[in-house]
Amino acid sequence: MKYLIFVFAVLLSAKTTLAQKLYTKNGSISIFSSTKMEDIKADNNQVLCVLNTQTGELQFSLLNKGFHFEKALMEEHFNENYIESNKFPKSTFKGTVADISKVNFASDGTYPITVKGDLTMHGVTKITTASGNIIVKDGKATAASKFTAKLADYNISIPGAVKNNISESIEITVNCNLDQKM
Amino acid sequence: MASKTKKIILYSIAGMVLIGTSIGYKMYNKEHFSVSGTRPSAAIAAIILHQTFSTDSTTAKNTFIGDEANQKIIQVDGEIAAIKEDQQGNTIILLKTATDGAFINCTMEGRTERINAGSKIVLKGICTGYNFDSEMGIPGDVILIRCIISN
Repeated sequence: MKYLIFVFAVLLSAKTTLAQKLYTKNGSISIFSSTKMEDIKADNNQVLCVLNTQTGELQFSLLNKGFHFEKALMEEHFNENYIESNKFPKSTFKGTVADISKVNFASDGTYPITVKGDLTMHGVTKITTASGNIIVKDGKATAASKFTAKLADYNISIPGAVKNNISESIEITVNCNLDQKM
Repeated sequence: MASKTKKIILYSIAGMVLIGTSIGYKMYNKEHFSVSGTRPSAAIAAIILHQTFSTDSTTAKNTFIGDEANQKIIQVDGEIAAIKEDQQGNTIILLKTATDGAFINCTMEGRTERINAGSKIVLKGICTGYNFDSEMGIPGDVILIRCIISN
């Protein structure tokens, strides 16, 4: 009987560990374009980001209309002309952290990682590789990364009139505090 | 006579350039519209809003989300499930829905004081959609941004 209880307990704990997902629904992703004419930045603070600590699967999903720009006109142009947010309401990433086994979620520290997966923007999916960190502090993990995406790769074209104001590549900064578990 | 005509043409062109520049400057610097000063285009209970997005997304999009240039303000009432803070320091109010773990996720304009979990609230904000992906295995939230308290 004792043996059976022990086996059951081991199986239950293994299942719990395997199912470990850390997530947030209010992660932060910023986009940044810098040219000689001007710098343009927008933030989205409603990013759904999920990390499976066992398999390393990392996914995020955001609503394009949630990007907030300093200037109303930039926000309008972004939604209307560039990302076409009514036609393509979401941007997503579905990938895997290559070196998840090196991250000790029980011990505070900054763990360098490499993520590879499919980034979908403006209805176009491209394989993307990015380096970043998983920062563990007080038992909570934050996924952070900075990478660039070429607008032309995602069929986002910049009209000639504002060609000098918008960079051909935008910098994407991910900062998701994974404070929920399931 | 010819010189007078030239002057008129020159002044007209200068005037048009001036008007064009000032319109362009005004448009470039125009402010985001005020949520507090805009009448909501719909008023709905949090539970119904989430149900509509999760069962009939086309109707929900047409009713609650504006087009690319003209965003819609909606008013939502419900019970506060939790109050959090995002990484920028904005207050997040989560309103209860009929689905466990799914909320109306409301990012307030700045910090919001004197609100408690469990109490009822009416707020208005811009609905950006339903952030749900079945592959992620996490219940989806309906997202409202730039929210202010209505009551």
